Amino acid sequence: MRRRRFLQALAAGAASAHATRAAARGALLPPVARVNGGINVQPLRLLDPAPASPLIEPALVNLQMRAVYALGFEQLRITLPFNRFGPDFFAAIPYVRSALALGIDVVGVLGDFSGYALAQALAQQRSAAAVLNTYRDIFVLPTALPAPGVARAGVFALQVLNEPIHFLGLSAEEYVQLFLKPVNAFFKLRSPELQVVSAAEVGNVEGIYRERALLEAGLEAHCDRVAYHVYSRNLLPLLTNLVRRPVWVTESGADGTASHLPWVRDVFPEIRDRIKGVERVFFYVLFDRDPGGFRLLEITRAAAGGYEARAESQPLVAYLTERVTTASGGRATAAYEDLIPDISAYFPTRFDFDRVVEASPFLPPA
Amino acid sequence: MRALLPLLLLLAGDEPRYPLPASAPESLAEPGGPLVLTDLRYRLTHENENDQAFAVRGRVKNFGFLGAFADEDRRGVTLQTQRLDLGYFADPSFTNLQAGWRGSKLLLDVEAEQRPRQDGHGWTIDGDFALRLSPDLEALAAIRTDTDRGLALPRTLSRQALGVLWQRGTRLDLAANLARAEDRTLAGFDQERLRAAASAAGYAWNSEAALEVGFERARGRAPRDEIFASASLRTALGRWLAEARSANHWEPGVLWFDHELGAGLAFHARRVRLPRAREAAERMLELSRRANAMGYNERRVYDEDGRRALRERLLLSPRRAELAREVLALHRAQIGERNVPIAGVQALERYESVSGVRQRSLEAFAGVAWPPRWPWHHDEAAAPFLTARYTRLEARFANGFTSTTHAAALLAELNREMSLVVRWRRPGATPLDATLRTGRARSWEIEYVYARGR
Repeated sequence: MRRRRFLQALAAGAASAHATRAAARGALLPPVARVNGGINVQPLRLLDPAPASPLIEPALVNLQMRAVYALGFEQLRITLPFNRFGPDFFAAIPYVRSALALGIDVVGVLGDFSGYALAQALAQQRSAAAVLNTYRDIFVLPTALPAPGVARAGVFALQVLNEPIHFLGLSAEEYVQLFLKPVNAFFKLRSPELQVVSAAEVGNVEGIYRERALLEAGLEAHCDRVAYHVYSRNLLPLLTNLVRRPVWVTESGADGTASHLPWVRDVFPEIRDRIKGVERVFFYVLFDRDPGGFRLLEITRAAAGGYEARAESQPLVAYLTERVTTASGGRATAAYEDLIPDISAYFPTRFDFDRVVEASPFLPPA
Repeated sequence: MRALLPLLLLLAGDEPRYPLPASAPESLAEPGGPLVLTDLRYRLTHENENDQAFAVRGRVKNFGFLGAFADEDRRGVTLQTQRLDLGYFADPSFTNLQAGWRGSKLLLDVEAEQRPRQDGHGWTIDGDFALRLSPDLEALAAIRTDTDRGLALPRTLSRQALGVLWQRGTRLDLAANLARAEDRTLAGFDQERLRAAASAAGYAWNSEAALEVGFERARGRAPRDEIFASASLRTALGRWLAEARSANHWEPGVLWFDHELGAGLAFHARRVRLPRAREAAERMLELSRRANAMGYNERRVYDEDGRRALRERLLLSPRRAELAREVLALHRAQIGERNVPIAGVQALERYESVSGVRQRSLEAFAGVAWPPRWPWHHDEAAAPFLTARYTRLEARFANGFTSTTHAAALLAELNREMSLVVRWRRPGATPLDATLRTGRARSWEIEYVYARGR
């Protein structure tokens, strides 16, 4: 009951109408050229590592989405954390919806950052139906409307868990039979247009053993796209001809800011050349909390309030910006604010909260 | 045969004493009845519910051994003569037929398994062949075939292997083999595996060592090359036995993806004897050479059960009277060279990359010899009596999830033919258990084993 009241209160507070104030202004200019592949984005609500508040800070969503837009990324990958339909689950909604409105294709990861709550819910028929229906109602079914000036809305795809052997300790057969196969069957029956993406395994050389195990366990029969993570060049020859389905490299990056640019400039083309069937490559990551590692941006609280972003991986950000500029041919492009004048228009709605409230009784006990 | 009895009794020396008397070794050479019970095994397991298993085997005059068993839903009967082995096993799903023939030069073993009706009722047939080229040298071959290759079930569809085994005395065995196999994966595609391996096992300086190295190439959708190597060493130092072993798999140019490293140390009530050394090994060598000269085609074996089976077969042979002396001498040597471990520890660590699981096991045991003495008391007449064993197995999964299994056992060897074991096990929950929210039940087991002539 407390949970329902909490969800209803959150819904009432977040319900918003679509803002139209500045939309017409942005429609006059074309959007930024999207030429830089995919990017991983974390569904940040607040900057604190373990925020006590359930709120979603609009400025933080705007900050990340503005960077995604300005850097010309074509696709965005984001975890849709189950979190027992808690605040982190809702935090992913504005990222997904605003990206789709910007014409950016989205890969939503059906996952959780830790624990077995999602795996437990998916392993039981009743709770699995409730969970998957909720994800479907909130992320798959709604028709995304492109922002004014954007030719088409992005397309949503669903990735079934993230590195399940590494993060859940399951075997390849258990992942394929218990999770990928039933989730794929669920969506093929109800939303056949949805692209279902398999989980990838760890992107170091050790991952090849798990990728092979997943393949031998029947992974390809139960997804539309096979995912890899690539953090080592040594993986490339091993992955060359492994699968027959199209491949999405849903994570690839290098540890250490100085290696970011060489990785994207030299290794990304190599990934596309050497791995057969690669359609998308996603850089890891726009922002995380570890300085000097994988992230492109540093996000901090601004002295004057709100948040500010600084390019931590400056050479790579300059490289991406240059590509966008070149692709735009010197023409003026619409600013992010022209297209997304009010991010709260993409926030969770009453409809979303109602879906969660409906599903909650079917979840396994915590 | 009766005329041999005085001679056999002369051979009989002082046997080690156990709490209960055992049958005399000579009684095997002269069974003394149309049907002699040779094996009896009963096991009661409790894990959520009670399961029972029962097996019985007896010698029918000098014709052979008839056996029968029931283990939960599985039932079976066996017939063993000196040259022929027949078996029939069935459970509600699978039916197995087994036939073996021991010719003067050729060993043949064929096993057929029929799958359940829902899987098409097809058969998998395995054949093993060994051709004796000389008393020390055998050529080996193996084949597997499946009558329903279209079935999508993951399994080995076919296998062909060729090998050679050279046994130089008891001190050195050398083997090499080449094999090709076709495996059907769960995904439904087939992989071909080509494998070449060489192995050596030998004895020198109070130590036994074994080594195997090989190469495997998998071709198909997920090709790979793999080099594997394993080595083990056991050294007897008076009443101490030290053991070490390691096994590794390596994919050239990629990484070592499977390592295993283990070591153990045990203290015995009497001097430790290794199976390839001393009198029992010499007796076994003489006996197998003599048997081969008679056309009975016996390979040298170094484990207690293998030697018991060898003795049983030769005592069914038409020329058993000529072999009885050597058979009894081997049995007595086995009895005399029993090992009596009274304390020890073993540790093992294994990591493999496919599952990302690191396993660590620790085993410790303590025993009381018969007659009971202080552990430091050196007693060459001691026999194994009570042994308590504890094992802790920890599996750490890639996500940090740790599963710890505890197991304990108490073994009472009432005499050399009869033992009683109580086992307890508390398995640790796995990530799959956490996912399915299932628990792991503790289990108890009581097993009684009688093996005449052990």
